[in-house]
Amino acid sequence: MTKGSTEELVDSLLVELRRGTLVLTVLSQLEHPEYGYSLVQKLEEKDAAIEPGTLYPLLRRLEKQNLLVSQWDTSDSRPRKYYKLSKEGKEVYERLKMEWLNLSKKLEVLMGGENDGSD
Amino acid sequence: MMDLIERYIQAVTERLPDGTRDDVARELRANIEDMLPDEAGEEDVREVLEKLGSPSALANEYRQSKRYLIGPAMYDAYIDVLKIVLCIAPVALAFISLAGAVLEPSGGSYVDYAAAFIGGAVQGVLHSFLWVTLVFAILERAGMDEGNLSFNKKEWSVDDLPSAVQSPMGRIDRVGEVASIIFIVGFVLVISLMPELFGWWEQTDGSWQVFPVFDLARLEAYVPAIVLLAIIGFCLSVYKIVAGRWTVPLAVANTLFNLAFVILACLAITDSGLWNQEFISHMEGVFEISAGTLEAIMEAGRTAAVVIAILLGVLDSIMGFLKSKDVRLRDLPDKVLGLMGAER
Repeated sequence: MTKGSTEELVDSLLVELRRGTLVLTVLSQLEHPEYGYSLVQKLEEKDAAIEPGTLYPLLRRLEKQNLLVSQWDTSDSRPRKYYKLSKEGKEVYERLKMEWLNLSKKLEVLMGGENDGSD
Repeated sequence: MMDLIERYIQAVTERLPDGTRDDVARELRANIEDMLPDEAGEEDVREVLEKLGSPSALANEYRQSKRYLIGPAMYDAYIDVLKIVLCIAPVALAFISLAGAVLEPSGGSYVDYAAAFIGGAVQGVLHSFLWVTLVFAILERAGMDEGNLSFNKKEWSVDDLPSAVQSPMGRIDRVGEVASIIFIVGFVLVISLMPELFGWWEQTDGSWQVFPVFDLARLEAYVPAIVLLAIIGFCLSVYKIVAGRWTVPLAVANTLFNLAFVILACLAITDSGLWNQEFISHMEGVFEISAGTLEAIMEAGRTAAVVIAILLGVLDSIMGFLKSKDVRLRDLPDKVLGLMGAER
């Protein structure tokens, strides 16, 4: 396999890996209401940036799945749509979080053999 | 500058369903304005819009509708069905088209016939792709997935594995089934649309004259039964190809079909009104035999045909059961003796 195609493969696998964590990432930041761009910035600050073009549609989708509730705030000169976790969303987030912690523990054990004690 | 943003929003929302358009537009506009620095210039707008990506990609993210015609769950079934249809439809359409060209009253050259044949085959390929794809795309959209397909309704269990010894006996002869489908389709088309094709063809003064075997008016009474039987036979063959192996229910269905076929065949054979008197007397003229001789021959032929039809039907039915149990015909006596021994 040439070097270029290895890079491509790694890239596409990384995209898949990250896609699985998108929902968890978003749910984890929405205990308090955020609007689209404020969430983009918040994630950037925490070094977990999601492309705006992915995030904005994702928020709507999660709302449609009843995990988020939204509200237009028109008190400011610029109207903004705020999202936060619904009751169901909180439950789902807690369960996903447990699963994730489990999963990462298991993976640590699985991959521990290779870099055991090296870092 | 605002113009660019509005054009972008328009390009995204025009791809969305009516109900969500306004709200998405409003939210997107707010988000874009949030992303712009104060006192933004055109360069800033361009940068933000390019960060959001192409409108159609963004609209796809919003829509989340299926972005494929046939998904992975349906793909295998789609390819299987497409293969079968591609085996059958081009051949059938080629022959129909050829028959149409031959029957053309103005006549035609062999080049015309060849062109009609090839044209029919090409049409068959195109139609196969079109209709199979259309049907599967609709099934896909109707929320059908592999679990709902009638061929594998039940949840898979180990019992569904083929028997340990994969003897070639129980395997369905796919080529034979495809041939029988082609025959069924061709026969039904000819008998229902151009029954006069079955007959004695004679060339007089450069044009063809046909003496049909059947009494065409009488034949019409049989057509509904023939078509119905053909549809059942067609479905049975397709099912055999998909199933791949003989099973007891399949052997039962095969027997019922054979029974219906033999009854219809015997009715037709013994119905003297079905055979064209003109054809018989003309044949006697052609072969220079005295009137009445052919009638007698045909009488004997009818009895023989009835016997053969019944024998073939019985044999084919029995073979179905034997194949479903992986039993060879020549092993049958031992098997039966074994069973009788077990009973004692």
